[in-house]
Amino acid sequence: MLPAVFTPGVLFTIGAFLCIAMPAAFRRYAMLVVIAVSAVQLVSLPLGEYGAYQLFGQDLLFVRYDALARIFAVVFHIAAALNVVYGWHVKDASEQWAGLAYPGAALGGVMAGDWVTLFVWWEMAALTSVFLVWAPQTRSTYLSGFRYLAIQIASGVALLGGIVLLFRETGSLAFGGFNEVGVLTAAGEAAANGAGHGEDHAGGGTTWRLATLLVFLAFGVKSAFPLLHNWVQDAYPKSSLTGTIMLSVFTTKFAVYALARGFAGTPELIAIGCVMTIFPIFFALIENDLRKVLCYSINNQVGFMVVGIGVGSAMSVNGAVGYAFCNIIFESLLFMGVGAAAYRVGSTKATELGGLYRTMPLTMLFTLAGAFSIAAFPLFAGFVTKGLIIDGVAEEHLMLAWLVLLFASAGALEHSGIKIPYFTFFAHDSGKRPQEAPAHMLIAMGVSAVLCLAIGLAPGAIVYPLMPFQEQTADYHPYAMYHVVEQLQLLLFATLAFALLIKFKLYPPEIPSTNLDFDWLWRVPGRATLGWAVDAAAAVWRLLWSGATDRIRDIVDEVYALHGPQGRLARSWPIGSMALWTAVLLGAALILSFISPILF
Amino acid sequence: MAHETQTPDDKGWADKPGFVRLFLYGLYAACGVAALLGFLYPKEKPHFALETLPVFFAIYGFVMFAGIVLIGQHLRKLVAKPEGYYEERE
Repeated sequence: MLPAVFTPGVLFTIGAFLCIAMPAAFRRYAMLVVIAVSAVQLVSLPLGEYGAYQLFGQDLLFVRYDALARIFAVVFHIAAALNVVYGWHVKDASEQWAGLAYPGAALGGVMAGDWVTLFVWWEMAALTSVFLVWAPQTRSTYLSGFRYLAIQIASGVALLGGIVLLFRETGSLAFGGFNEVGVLTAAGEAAANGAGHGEDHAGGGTTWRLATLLVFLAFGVKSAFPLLHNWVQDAYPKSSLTGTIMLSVFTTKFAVYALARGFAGTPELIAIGCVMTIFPIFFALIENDLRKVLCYSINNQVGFMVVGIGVGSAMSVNGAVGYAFCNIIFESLLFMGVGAAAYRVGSTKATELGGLYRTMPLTMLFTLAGAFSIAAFPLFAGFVTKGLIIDGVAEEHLMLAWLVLLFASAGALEHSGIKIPYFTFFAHDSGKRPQEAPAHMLIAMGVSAVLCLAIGLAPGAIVYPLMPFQEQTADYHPYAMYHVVEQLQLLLFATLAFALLIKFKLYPPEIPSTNLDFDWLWRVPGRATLGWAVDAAAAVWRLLWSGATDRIRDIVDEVYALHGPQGRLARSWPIGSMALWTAVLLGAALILSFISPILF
Repeated sequence: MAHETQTPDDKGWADKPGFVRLFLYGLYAACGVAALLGFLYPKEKPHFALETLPVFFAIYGFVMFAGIVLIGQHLRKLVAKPEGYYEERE
């Protein structure tokens, strides 16, 4: 076992640089070796705190490896490995470098024990992931990458501001939860270790001050809160097929972890999460680009997690982080399925796909496993974890939120459970008969599909032991008959609605379009306003500059007139005149010296 | 990305009327069974009165899904623009 400071985050980061120094032929193997070494290190590392050090007299903690960090660290390893296998055809060194450095930053972040370490990994995640957005190297991705980077860095700046204010108020840099009086306590840590906060009911919430608001804003930007969400739809679909999958995994789930650590039991998150689950459903419905549909699906899915964290009970937090674990696998699987179709056909647009089940049956089958999981059908991964969130909300008697989550479940079935596989593999026949996906993609998708099924069949063997509140998991029985029946009723009758809408031609056809979202405000009028402001500033500058240069020119002209070759002071004077004036001056001085004793 | 292109009238197994009919009948049957089971397995500790209705989840799922599709499609009238809308402006 390596020393404890060689955490997965460090190993991934070092490995990323070592790998790109290697010949392309070895790089993919080396990436898998790095992930395997890191996984062994993770498994060997007992839960605890490592790498305590001092910086400018402050106690910092490089690694806090507790139950909350562990569940994210484990699934990040699985996702990173699956992404390498899926992207076996990728030769681009920058994309491969990001394939390790970016997960490494997320891993470092979820295992950070203090705010400074968290901030460093937070920014690293932004800087490393932008290379994935830029990977296709087009003007569109170049601009999108800069927008993405600006928003991610803004999140980092807000976090830094919050950290500075927190430190000024508390004198501590320990990264924990916020309690009712708004000071940092060990509550978050206790909650994560399953030692405290074992109550089944939510906590008292967070007292809002500028410091907590800034940190909350930073986490909100990265987890794509409503109105702060557009960077997902803007940047992710523009990346390469493999880059999009990687992006879909780490950034938002890293933020979900941060929210779970810092803001569990914050009621405002329930409202925010509910909105997050609802609005993407409608945008996903009318979206033609299936990768963009999945980006809205990310918003919808993270919304469930945010609600669970907001409720803050042991059940709902278990549900939120457990759902994050499963979502990473099945959401990636859906991206992989669409990506494999696009790899063969060259498009991710619903209008250009369809009918591919004939020649891509395995891809279709694996994608269906992802679709069943995200819809939370019994026997699949989503069912055994999403239920914890919804039941957690019901336990708190939050009826409106409960109804919203059921509504959002029907919505998730629509856009991810049905729309993605239906328009990719069925629907109208595009007439295209591509080959089945390459073997490496099939392996990655097959493993993901098996995981979806395995988690659904045996949650107690895979995902429940990783949850932070172990006592609560013992009390939860996802396969209680009434629970299965409720879910089957919801999903089967929703599917029936879909079938009837198709049969009676009431389902909207896919139309190639650009659907405006909130980012229109800054991409069109915002951009125009900025352009106008730049022009106005330039005009003012030109005015000031021309005024200043005119004045300077006048002064130079005056000086020139006085001292220039033709100036009065440059004129030549006769020697006689000079002698006369010298005599006058000397005479005056003589007279003055005579009369001065009399006068003074 | 090379792929063969065939005529769209080349029907696969999922497009054959027999399969479509089988799928629909299977779905109707599954819905019927799920609704029936709602009467046989009521929720042990309901939190809301709605949960005591044996077919609440069936009705809610159907109505919400249909509502999402039927209402949601009108969002296009508000937000849909031609492809390349942003590219032309950037």
